[in-house]
Amino acid sequence: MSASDKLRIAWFSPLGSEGETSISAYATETLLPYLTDRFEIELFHDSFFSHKKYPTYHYLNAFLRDKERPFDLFFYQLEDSPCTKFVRMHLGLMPGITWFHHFFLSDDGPEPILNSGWQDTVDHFCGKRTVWPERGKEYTRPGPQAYREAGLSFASLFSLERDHGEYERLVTHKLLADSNQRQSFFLPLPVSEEVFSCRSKQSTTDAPFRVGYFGTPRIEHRAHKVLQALTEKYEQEVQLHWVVPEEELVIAQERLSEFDLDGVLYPQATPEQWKQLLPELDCALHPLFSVFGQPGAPLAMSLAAGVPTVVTGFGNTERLVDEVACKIEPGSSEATQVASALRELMKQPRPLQNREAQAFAREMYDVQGVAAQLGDTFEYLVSGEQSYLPQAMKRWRALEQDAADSLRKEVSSFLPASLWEGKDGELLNPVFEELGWSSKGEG
Amino acid sequence: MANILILGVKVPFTSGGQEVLVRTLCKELNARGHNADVVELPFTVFPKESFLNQAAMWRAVDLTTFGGKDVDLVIATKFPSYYASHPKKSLWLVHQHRALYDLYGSRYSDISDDPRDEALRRMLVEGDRKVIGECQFVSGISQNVVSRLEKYIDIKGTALYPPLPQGSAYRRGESEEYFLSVGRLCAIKRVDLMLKAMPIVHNVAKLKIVGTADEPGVMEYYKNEIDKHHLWDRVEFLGRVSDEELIDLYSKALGVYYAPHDEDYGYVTLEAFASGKPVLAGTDSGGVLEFVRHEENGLVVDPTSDAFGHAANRLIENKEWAAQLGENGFSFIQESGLLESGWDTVIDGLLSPLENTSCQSAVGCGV
Repeated sequence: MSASDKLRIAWFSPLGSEGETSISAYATETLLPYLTDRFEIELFHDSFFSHKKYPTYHYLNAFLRDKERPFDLFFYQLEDSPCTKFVRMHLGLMPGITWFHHFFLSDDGPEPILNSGWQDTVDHFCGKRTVWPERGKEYTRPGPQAYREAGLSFASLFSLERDHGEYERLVTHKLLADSNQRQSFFLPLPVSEEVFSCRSKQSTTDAPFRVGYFGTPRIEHRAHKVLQALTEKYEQEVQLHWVVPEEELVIAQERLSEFDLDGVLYPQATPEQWKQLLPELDCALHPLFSVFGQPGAPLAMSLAAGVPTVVTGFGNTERLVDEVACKIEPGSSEATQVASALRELMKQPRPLQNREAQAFAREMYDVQGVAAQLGDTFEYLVSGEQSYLPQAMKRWRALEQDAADSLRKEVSSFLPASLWEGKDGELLNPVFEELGWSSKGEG
Repeated sequence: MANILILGVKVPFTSGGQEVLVRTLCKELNARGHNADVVELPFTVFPKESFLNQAAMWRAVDLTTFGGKDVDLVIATKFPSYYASHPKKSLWLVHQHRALYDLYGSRYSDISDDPRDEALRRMLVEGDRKVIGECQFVSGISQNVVSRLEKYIDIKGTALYPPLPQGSAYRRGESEEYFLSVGRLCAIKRVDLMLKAMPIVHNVAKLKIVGTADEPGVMEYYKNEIDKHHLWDRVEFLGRVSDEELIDLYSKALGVYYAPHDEDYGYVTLEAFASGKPVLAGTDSGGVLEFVRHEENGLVVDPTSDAFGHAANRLIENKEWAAQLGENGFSFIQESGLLESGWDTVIDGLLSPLENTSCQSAVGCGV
């Protein structure tokens, strides 16, 4: 623990512009103001810029910071995006608590983990093997799930209940598999207070019925179904407001032309952009039909704002009750279902406000509640009555020591024994000691 | 007059910019009345575990006195030569072992998530901080190299650009229909991007490649690509060529392709400019971009075969414009101080520890 008695946390996340559209960066921005009084947090990312007022470092300097003043825990956020590749790398070097925003990862990660022997590392940690594997042994990734990342975590948090379920069902090969203590938790994404009240000044107008759509023009976000639904005739004029990733803007424009639709495109698919739209929307569309990805913070924000929301009845959103969101079954009648949902909403007087959704969101996503839960989890794991993290980190540091010893044996095998032993040993041994590379030289 | 040792790293059976730099520095120091010589130790990147030994070897060698002559200064250049111990040490950094730093986590690094590799990385990073931190003068061959040093181990240095080794020998000649690629043949130099661009490059133009393979399997890969795209008559591998042949090849090229991933410096850029030729570079080519300006003295495009193919076609389709870009590069090199005259600045910096005993660098942590 730090001199100030606050837990010292190494917090790994993409930040600012590098993670502009990432869930991790959003969660970091939203939560940090509620945690920095309670914890001593240093941010680590894959770049060199400083982030706001927070102490910020390149992730490759984490071990130096840890050596200078040890951290009580390493906290990682992981998602299916290139911007968290460095997290996938580092969580295997110094395990900690990982918050998974996705459990299905569509690529193999950074190249140095393509052939990762993480199962051997886990076995070594668990005492199931005592010898490090031979160099050059081939390993393969078992599937699209984040088995390696979950296996190399002391505790796993999930922002989706579905992913939490998958973890509990599928991941058996993990660092603390033999522990009886709870190692996984559900922690939803946070939504700021101002989102809950952003529609309080909404006026009743005769303006067109404004439909907000957050998604890519690709099949998994059901653009072809949404746009088909919007081509139908409605009693009121419908206006589409489509928030789309900048790199997909041209495709989105082509889709609109294809369906002969007009729409306002917002080429910055960020929660901030969505927040600005929410006050004026009559309906929010968050369709997603894929095991990869998640609707992310924009869906939570729509519910928190009380905007009537349409989702796909698949995966995590399948669990939402009807009072909270209108669920569309994927398939041939999808466009008709979307159109029906819009017609139902048009029958109601404006402003449309879903109080049940807001109440649900208040319970689930309120930033103060989420920050408190995360903080409590940190304390539970590090200093609570049943804390196990300090012991686990101690065991990991012993494993690091074992790895360093094994490396030294490999190193000495490249040169004649005479350079290491006897009189000739005076040549290299003192250098290794001076540089802190021998057991004797370590501080 | 001072007794000076330049510390070079020799990868047997290959040659690159570092050897040229060390040889030329030695020549320039001797020309100024100093007694300079080169000390080299062999270096191999395989196996990576041997890096500790190779670094320790440098440190174990006593470089203070030879044949009754005290060594006044050592000038280290490349990993791991800066592990050498001496009371007066200057660093003119070519590069650190980049797989531990900026290339870490990429396809160009072989440091995996095995805890033994992590132990190796930590030992070497801490070792670098210690031994570079003890240098009285810290510099690098480009701003890119110096920036990396500061970013990753928080040691500040000065950028001292190496002048061209054959300064005024380069000449401008009438362009023929070929692009020239010069450098070691390995993944990070990305010669393959231009090779794979050739099918979309107008077929009047050829690609001539100077350099030898520096990685296992790389020639087989290139030859497969040539077979796949039927480029037998359009791509020519010239291997290692003499200085005179190289100057001739530069002088007749339509343009020079040089688009490595995050290059340290790259003599090739300057050689092309000295020969009045435009350079095709990538937007992530690092030190190369300290000199190449898009549509001013070359073309800087996305590092893809498509982009290089289209850029090459622009030069083929408008040769006057291509020649103008080359002329701009030539003017730049004339005004840059990177011909022979630039050595004074480099040598003044590197020899400063002989006059100044205060340590220039400050070691810390973070960004």
